[in-house]
Amino acid sequence: MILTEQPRVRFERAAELSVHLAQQDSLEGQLSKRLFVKGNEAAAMGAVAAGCRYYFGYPITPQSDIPEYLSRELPKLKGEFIQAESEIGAINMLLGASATGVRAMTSSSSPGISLKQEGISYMAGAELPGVIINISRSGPGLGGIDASQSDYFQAVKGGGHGGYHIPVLAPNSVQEMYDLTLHAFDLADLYRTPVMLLGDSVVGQMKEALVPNPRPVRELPEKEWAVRGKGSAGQRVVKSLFLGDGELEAHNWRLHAKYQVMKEKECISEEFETADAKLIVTGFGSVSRIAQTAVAMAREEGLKVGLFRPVTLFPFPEKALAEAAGHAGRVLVIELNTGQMVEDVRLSVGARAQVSFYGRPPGAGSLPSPEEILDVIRKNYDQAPQ
Amino acid sequence: MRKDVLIAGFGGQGVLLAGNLLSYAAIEEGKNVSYFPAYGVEKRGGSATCTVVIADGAVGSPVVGQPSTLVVLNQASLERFGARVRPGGVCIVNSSLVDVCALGRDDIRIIPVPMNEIATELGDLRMVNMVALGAYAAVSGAVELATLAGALKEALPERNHKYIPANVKAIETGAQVASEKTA
Amino acid sequence: MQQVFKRPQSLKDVQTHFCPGCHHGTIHRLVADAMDLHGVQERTIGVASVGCSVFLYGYFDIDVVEAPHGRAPAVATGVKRAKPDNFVFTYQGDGDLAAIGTAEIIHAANRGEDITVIFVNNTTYGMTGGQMAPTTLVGQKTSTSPYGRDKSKDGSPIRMAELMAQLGGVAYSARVAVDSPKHVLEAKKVIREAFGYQVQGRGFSFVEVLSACPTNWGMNPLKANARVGEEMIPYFQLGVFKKEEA
Repeated sequence: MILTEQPRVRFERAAELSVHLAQQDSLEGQLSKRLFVKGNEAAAMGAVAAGCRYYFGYPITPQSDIPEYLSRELPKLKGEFIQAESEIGAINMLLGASATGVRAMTSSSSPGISLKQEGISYMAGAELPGVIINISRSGPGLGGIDASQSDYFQAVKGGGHGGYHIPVLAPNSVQEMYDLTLHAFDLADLYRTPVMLLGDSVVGQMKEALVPNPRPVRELPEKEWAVRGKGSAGQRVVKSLFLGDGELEAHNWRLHAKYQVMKEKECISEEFETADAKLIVTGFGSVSRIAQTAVAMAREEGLKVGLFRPVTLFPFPEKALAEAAGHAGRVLVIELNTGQMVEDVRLSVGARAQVSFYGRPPGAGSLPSPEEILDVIRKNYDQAPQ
Repeated sequence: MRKDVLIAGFGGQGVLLAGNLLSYAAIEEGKNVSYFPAYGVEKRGGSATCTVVIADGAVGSPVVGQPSTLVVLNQASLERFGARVRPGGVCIVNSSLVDVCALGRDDIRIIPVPMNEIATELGDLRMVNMVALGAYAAVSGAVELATLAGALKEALPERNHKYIPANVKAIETGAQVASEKTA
Repeated sequence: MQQVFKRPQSLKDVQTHFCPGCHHGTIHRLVADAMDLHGVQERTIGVASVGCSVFLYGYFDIDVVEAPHGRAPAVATGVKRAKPDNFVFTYQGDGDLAAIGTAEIIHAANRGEDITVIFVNNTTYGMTGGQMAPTTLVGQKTSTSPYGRDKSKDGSPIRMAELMAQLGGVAYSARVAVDSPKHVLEAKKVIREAFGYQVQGRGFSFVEVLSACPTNWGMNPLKANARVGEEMIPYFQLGVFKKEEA
């Protein structure tokens, strides 16, 4: 089948964003610059293009292409690559480097990300930027290396202690692995926060065309908080301990306010064939690509089905989804887990639409095919209000 | 235009290289492409598989459930993936190693190509993947043969560029034999 | 009148929050003295750990990054790699460095990170209220070893300075005490020397400082001070265990 319509990307604040998601739009006149790379490599290239020169990590499948690429490239750029003693070591090296104001990153996969949660909480508390790429795998425990989306909760609900949030971006193509990595560094600096890129082995291991154009960098604030050696100026302290009367409460309210601004300004979502849809299919990352083809197949059968894809998982594009769902009346959530993002979908659409769920927990040995999703769409479509 | 193919064989038959080369050629022709190697448990048992989706517009799913074309280089792959070919689809078979009788499908077109013999005759059995790719290009029209030939320098490491002429010949021969079968 | 004793420039003019008889104040002073001597205050980034030592930034007039418990050597690694021209030191207690942060200290040392580590060993967890530490002496009673540390169950106190000396990346490792004027003068010399190693870019330097914790030891300051010499030094022997020559 042929996809009849290009996905329509919806930014809450389009003009200010440095990413440009619809890869096909940008191809004209640039064909000679297209590379053919793995998603993981594209993310590493995006980091370099973003000016990141410091990488700290620990080997784990299926993301090792990222440290392998950067261990090769960063020394050429006078950067630093450290294979740390542990994920804990790596995230704290990131904390230290970020505290000096440089752009730095780490990457890992689910079990390793669990270990990094301590550091992520401290970075969130100390308001330190930094990019964390999570090419997630299946669990719990050692689980397996299959593509999985079972770490949605961990990523978007504050995986560590202390009730914080970090922006979470969910690429679904090799181009987005690059673009959203660039965007992640901007968001990190703009909001002084760790930012997570959440993918899986599909987006990490597949190869697609990449146009490695650095996007224009957003106007970013000076890092007046970064430690640098005080010189003759005043002391700077990067910390998350607040023991003074009322200090910590005020700090938490300030962090909360920051999350509210993110919700207002930083939601990104993508819509495909939603205008007249009676059923909205939604899913993030790899599964959204499968769903996109399933939706196109459903359209060929004459079913009015559309696709809504959250690109930012935190902030979750509540308003855009509620709008699309309100028109349709029914939403089908598809995830590679037993039901996580569906909770945010329900909160977003409220009473405006019926929400149903189709989940494929990790370890089934194969991803759902477009045909399988189409089957689920057909069943749900029959129940949709006509 | 949207074409998808599942290429399957055993390790050493150059399945992943074939997928890569096809992808490079598609990119060269200005198309969009998604190449996805076998993952997780599908990787077990010494088999090598990959899917390639080529499209003028958005690629959509990199995961292919029912391929419109299956290229099988060994018997085990036919048994494993033969039933998945979309009705009305095509199965290009390495008839040197694969007996298609067991498949029992009359709703797909089966194109037998003696890939091992062709590759051996051309001087190197390892070119079986190029023969297969030539056959696929001819049958599907997904990419031009000339583009495939031109993309070899991208897909092969520089130390293997000396084998490009032989590989081009293998692609062309695979295409020619497959065309004769479909004529 | 000639001034013979003054506050080091790197130290702030503030009142201490440490308990009476605690050695942190003295050790802070020696660290500040070494920064002054090498003229590095303005380019120093200190890494604070978790424990009583967390308030580093309240005493030292330098930039400071606060690390999670035990992770100071990893944080310092990130700081130093990003800013190799800065002077970077960590200041850690025994629970922080020798228990929860063992992996971080061993590997930062083994990589030969060009940082200095000040390790304050008072054989107990001070801030959390006197629990058993990895350096608690055998037989020593703490709030979590009420019958005394039992070697068969709790293991033996870890001698970090000696352990550090075994690692290839370590250029300098020493143990000092601050329980007597003589020991304070020796400690001053050693800390200055350790800082010198970093100033000259000669690799990882480590100074363990034996320290009293009267509050959690349940002793008055004098008795606690005496315990350092009577019980700790016989087990944790003072000395320079490694000193790579240029």
